Amino acid sequence: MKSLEKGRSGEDPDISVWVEQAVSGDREAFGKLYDLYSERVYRHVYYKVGNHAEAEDLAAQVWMNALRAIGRYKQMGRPFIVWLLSIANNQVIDHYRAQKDRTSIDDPGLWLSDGLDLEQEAIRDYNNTELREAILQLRPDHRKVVVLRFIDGLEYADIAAIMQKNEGAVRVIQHRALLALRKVLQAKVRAQ
Amino acid sequence: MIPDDLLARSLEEFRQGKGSLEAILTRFPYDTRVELEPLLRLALQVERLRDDTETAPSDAFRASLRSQLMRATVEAEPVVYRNGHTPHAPEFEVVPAAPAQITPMPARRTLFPRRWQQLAASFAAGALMVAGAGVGGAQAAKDSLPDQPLLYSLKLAQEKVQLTLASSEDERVGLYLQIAGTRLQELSRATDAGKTDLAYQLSQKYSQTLNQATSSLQNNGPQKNAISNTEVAGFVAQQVTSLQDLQKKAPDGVKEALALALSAAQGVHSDLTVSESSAPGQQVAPPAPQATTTAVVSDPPPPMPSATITVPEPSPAPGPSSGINVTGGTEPGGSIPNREQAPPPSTSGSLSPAPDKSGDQPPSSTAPDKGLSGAEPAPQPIPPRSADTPNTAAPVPAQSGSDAPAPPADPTPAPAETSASPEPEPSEPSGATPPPSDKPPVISVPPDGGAATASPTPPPADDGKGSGGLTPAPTPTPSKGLTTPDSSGDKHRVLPSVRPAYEAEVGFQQPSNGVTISITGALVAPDDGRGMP
Repeated sequence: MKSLEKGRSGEDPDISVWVEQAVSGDREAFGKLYDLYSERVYRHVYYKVGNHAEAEDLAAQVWMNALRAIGRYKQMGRPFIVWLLSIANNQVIDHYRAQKDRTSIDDPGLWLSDGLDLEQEAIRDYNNTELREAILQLRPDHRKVVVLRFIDGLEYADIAAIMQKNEGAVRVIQHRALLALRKVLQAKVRAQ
Repeated sequence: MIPDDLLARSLEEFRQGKGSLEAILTRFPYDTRVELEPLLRLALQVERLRDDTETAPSDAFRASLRSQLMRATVEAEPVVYRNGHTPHAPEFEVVPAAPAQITPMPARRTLFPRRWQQLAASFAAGALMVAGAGVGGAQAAKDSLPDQPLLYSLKLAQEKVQLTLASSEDERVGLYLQIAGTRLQELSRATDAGKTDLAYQLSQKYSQTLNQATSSLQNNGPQKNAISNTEVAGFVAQQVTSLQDLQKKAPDGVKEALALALSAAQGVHSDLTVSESSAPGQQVAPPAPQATTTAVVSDPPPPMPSATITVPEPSPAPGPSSGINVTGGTEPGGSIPNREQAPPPSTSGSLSPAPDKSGDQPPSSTAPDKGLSGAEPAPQPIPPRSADTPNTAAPVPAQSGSDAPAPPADPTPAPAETSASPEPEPSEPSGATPPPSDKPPVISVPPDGGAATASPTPPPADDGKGSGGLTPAPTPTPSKGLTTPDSSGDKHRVLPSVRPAYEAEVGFQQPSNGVTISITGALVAPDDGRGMP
């Protein structure tokens, strides 16, 4: 997997060329970008909806929208993936607006995790399934930051651009999101 | 509680290799470290999910979506920004197994939307030119290659505007051929520069453009084309030759790219040749009994694979169809040269109303080979070549005393006047064949490909079922030539486009219920500056 941590000015030169070609209508170049980023976009969408069926539908729409809008893409000093994930976020928002049945996962029960042995907890190694399920239980803004930062590997500035917040706010949300995630995981351990 | 920023800074330091996790943690007091460490470790554990196979798309899904993306036809859409910087266009269209294409404008449009569209397109073109000047000028854009994205996108946008402004399918075909010639020139430059990637791109674009030209040609229907298959095939044959020459001198890598373009051109040429051979009526010009216009085409289409395009050279005089042919009265963009060959539905008048309005006949525009009442048409009186050939139709004066439209409600309308149209359909009753005695105007095309002239047509006989009047505008619109550079770009030939201006009134009766419909309108060439009366 190609490095996820491309800074704002660190876009791979090859990728920049593909982006330029895709913007000028080169479908093959767009295909290369798809090959490079399809997994990240899909994973990002998966963590929004939590199941593969919806993730596939949404990912397909994200890429079709990207194809439709690629001619208008402008280099704004951010990696191309930021643009793709912006489309993904909008797509997910539309998805939930259409469903109108989004349930809040800001479950108060998740916050009742005081009293655990923090030192014991510090060395706990969670498996991927536990982590995945816990992330999916985070409230939306927390989940978004966790996914964008730790799974998508974006810089704070890029996350801030996507979320339309300042970087400081993103750092605060990140901190709180990790605290929330930890409590969710602790609750799972308790339940076992 | 630790400061919010502390976690972020600690993670950043760890990522930057400024120390192990333990080393970073030891910098902080115990209370902070106890709180910070589980979060740091948790963050690093979450990062493992980047390679989690459980959340990765399946290979089948990825392949399927990729295939869709490669084949998807994406319609041009208005720019929509909801938040100022994020493109957000949820609607899209996917047409499987179809090349990307620009959706042609609908054939029928009302006058005002059309004008607004032209105004908008003109504005867009102007804006593009201004933008072009800002980045080095339109000439720079014209000379650009795809490795200059900004200039090249400007160039493509200009082409798109031209296509949008095309008032007829014929004009669009000519533009596509012109664009294909441009792609070929670019391909030649990319070959000379040994740019393999560019050559591949341009080969693909060239192939797409050729396909769009042929699609547009077929969409228009063989009987309505001012540009015949033979001419297009000749044009393509010329490009095949150029590509073959180019391939001989190309580096190995570029040769493969050129092979793609060559294959596409040969395929199109082959299709057109077959298509043309199956429609010999387009190559010959036998006068038909029902025709009111006789075309004398003195320069037959070039034999294949002739590389000579037989479209007329630019001529200051109006094209033949600008003065003689008016059908499809609701199309403001101008008439289609050979539509008169298709007898109209059961209506009368000098405009041929759409069948769905008369309600009793299939549309002539969709079944150009069908005569009235679905009968097989008589030999086509005027082959499409008559409009393609180098010629100039003289302006046809309005027929005196015959232009007055019949009252709309008159069930037995006055004789239809077709002062300029050679076609019999305006005055034909439903299911009837046009009177062979109608004296057609004669389009004569000099053997040298010079200007052709058309003589006026006497008014068709009154069929007693409809009425209408058609008056050519006082000043016939000259045919606007489309220059189509050949592959070398140093020769320009002209493909005709027809933009006549007519005023017309038509009344026609539905035989089934006796209801008479009257339509009054004008056909105005978009660039004439004349509008609806």
